[in-house]
Amino acid sequence: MPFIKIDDHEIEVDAGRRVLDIATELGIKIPHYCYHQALSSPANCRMCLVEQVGAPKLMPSCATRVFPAPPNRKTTIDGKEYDAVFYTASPVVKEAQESIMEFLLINHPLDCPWCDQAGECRLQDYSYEYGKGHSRYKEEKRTFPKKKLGPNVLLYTNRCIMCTRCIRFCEEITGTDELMVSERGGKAQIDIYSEDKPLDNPLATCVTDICPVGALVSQDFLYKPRVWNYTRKESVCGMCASNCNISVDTKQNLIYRIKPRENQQVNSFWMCDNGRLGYNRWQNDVDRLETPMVRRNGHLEPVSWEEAYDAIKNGLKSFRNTEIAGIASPYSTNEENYLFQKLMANAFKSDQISYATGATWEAWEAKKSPFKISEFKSPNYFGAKDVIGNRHKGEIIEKISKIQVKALYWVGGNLDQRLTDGERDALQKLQFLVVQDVWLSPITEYANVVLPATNYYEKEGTFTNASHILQWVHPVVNLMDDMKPEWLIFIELAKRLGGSLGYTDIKNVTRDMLANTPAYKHIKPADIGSQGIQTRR
Amino acid sequence: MQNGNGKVPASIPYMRSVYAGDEAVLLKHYNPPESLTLKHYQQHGGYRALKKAFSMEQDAVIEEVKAANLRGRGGAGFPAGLKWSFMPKESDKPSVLVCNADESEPGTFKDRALMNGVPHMLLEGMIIAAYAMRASLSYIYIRGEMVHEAQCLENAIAEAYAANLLGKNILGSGYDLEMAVHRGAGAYICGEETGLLESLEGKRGWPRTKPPFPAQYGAFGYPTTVNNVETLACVPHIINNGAAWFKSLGPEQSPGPKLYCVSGHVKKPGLYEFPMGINMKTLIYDHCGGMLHDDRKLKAVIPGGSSVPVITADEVDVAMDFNSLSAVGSMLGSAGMIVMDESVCMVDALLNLEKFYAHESCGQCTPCREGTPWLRKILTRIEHGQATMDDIDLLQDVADKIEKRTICPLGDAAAWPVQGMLKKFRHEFEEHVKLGRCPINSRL
Repeated sequence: MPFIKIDDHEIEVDAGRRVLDIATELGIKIPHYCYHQALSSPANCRMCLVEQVGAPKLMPSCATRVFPAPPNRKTTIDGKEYDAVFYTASPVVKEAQESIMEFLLINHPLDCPWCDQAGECRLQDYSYEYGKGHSRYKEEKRTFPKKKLGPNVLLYTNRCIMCTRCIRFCEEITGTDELMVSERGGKAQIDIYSEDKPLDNPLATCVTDICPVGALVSQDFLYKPRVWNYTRKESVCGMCASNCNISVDTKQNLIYRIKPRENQQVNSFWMCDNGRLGYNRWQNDVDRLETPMVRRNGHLEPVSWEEAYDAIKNGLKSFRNTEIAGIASPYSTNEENYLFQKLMANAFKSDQISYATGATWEAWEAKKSPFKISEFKSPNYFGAKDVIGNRHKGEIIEKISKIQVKALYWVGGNLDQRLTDGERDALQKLQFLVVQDVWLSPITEYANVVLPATNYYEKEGTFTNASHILQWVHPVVNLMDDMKPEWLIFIELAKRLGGSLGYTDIKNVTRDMLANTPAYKHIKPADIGSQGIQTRR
Repeated sequence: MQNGNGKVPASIPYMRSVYAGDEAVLLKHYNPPESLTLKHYQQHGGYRALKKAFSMEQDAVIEEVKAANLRGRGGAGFPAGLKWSFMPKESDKPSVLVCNADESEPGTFKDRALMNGVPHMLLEGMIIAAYAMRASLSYIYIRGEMVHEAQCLENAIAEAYAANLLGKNILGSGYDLEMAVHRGAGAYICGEETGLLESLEGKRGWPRTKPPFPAQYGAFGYPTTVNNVETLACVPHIINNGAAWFKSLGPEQSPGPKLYCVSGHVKKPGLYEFPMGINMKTLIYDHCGGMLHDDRKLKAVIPGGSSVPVITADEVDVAMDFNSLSAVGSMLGSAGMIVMDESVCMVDALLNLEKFYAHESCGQCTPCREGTPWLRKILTRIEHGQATMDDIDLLQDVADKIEKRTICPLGDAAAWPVQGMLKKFRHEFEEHVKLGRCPINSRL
């Protein structure tokens, strides 16, 4: 193993590692633009230049790898022999960093006051840390037009520093090859090959995450409030069963932006545009259910929670246990499904419970990386299967058709809910239907009582993804005044029906859910951590 | 792999100013269109060296070239034999020889003459080199503008294939080699060896970060050696006449025959062949007929293509070889000599060069992409009398900050002329600032 020295640190490292990675692990910060852990290192920004003792010029630390030196090529410092010695902050390195900053800024428009990247821009940060605060450039700056690269991504060409991260992303991660460099020298700029092939792959907006400056911006995050005004919360995305890790920027209980959060086991550094932009549908397009409702004279009318609970209690009184069934939701957390199952067992004395599949459409896989968008468009299809057991909704629908089941409690959550003709016929035959849903869906048309449900930005608990990794879900926005978390609905309803579940908060629910689910038996809540836990051993 | 139609085009724009005496080696039989043919080449001893090489062990060929101290004629002067020895002896991938015929350094036109005059000499050198390096693929990457030269090479390759000098089991030796011409699309950067390899692969000609070097990871990921045309053309002569003969031509540190491209203010500009180390003053005044205008004095010479630092009239009593020119702070480079008399404004000359580098910068890495247009802009201001004294220091500083900070040597090539001019002719820059105009051009 090569024995090297970086500044004051002496360390033995694996052969072939990059100097920049080693330095980062040692807590030494080397500024860089073009290098990204998930991509190749063209060493084009020249910001990470470091001094290597014995080398004729400064070396790019992102592309310089350490190897054992032959005996006659060792570097001796103070009588000690090293395979290589690097200085990351010597005067010549600092001078180089300063000059690179000056070069990068001579043509940069310095339009920070209205640039959406301001506050999280490497040009700003490095100017402050490594620049010299003024420019000697007196000529006119070169200007390029702004370009719309695809439906979700804009390129402010003047701000670009040509690090080519975006091009390499399309070549090395998605394998879709939409981006290229056009022109040459000082006129070189990022572009698409042709209007016929825009930057329109499912992960397209990820290029705005990896763009170290304000050149590539998300159409969705254009001219929004400054980034330092947001509260950032971490959770996982619920738009499909991949459960990409996300950080969500909110302000006044509204979501303004969702960005992927690194989790090498789940989503690496990426997320799809559907998941990233999906919050808009919830915030702008959907008429959310916010209060419980009870059907009176053929119409659903808003009522208080107490009235709704009473309506359920009274409505179900006349049925025998075998005539009551429940359909759990792949949009619910594992905790909610666990409590729903307990509610059915304790309060209704029914074990007739199954789960719906939720929306599905075509899966998508990146060509050059393991990233996958699941065909299951519900967040917790795999968790529902684990918690509820492998019993599908079809059985229950059949029993309803045969009038063996007369009362149903259906937990929805699907914004794309469709009913088959068979399901419609069955629901018409029901004598009593409780629906817990996020909107007035096709199911609520048949409901006697409707309870408002929560979405994945509001839930607390755990989801299990398509790779069977169980992760924490945190609420990123608060519930509307009249709404309740769904786990609480099940607890309160059970109590009202005289079959208390014995919980007052969610923590113990997670513990018991894990202990009582065969697939999760070996997991303790503390094991889950910020990166989740693989449930299959 | 048959290329071309084997016919020599009827009307060809041959270079008229090729001066090669009886002692010439490379251009001795330069006499196109006759000298383009295989027949002509063989009549003058062509492909004898190849037969001799096939009778030698591969490593013995490399050792012979090493012993001859053949230094790369592309500009850097790296010993060719040493470069060949970096190629793997055993490899599960085919090895590749690439001939760099992307001659585009301003002031340089030597490879062009070899290709449009004696293409078989290059082919023979390539086949010997490829044999020594155990290469089974070879390419000639030729500058896109050289349409006629590409045709000459295509024809020569077609002839060679027909005569079993290329292809399978060459001359019964059991050695196989394929060869193809690849035309560039007109970018100076593709003369940089890794930019060339990218371009050869069909990609944008953006140079690669080294290491890995081409011998480890070259064209299409195969072990590759890139050699200049003139370097390869020397190889048959080394094999024919031996390393000792080669070393006897010119100084021991950089021996061999050499092509000198002389342009600018001399009476007889053109391509001259002499042994390495000819005195520059002798070359200009004796062979090139002295200054173009008898009443104008020599002012400066750029000795090795536009990238190398300029030398003054007082310094021209110097031997034209790698080491001697380094000693006076310049370089032999490609031996593309640009001779300038006192009517030339050095600021204007430098501006012209920096326009070229700004135009040809590939745009990949920061210092060159941003720095070369900046140099051009500062120089424009100085030339037009719109600069201050600080701008001269700024010019120097920008050049210093490009040098050695880039992926490939194009940044250095843009910086060196600035550094050289400011070192030798700073007073002219200051004069522009003081007068607020160009003292020479604004007088015309």
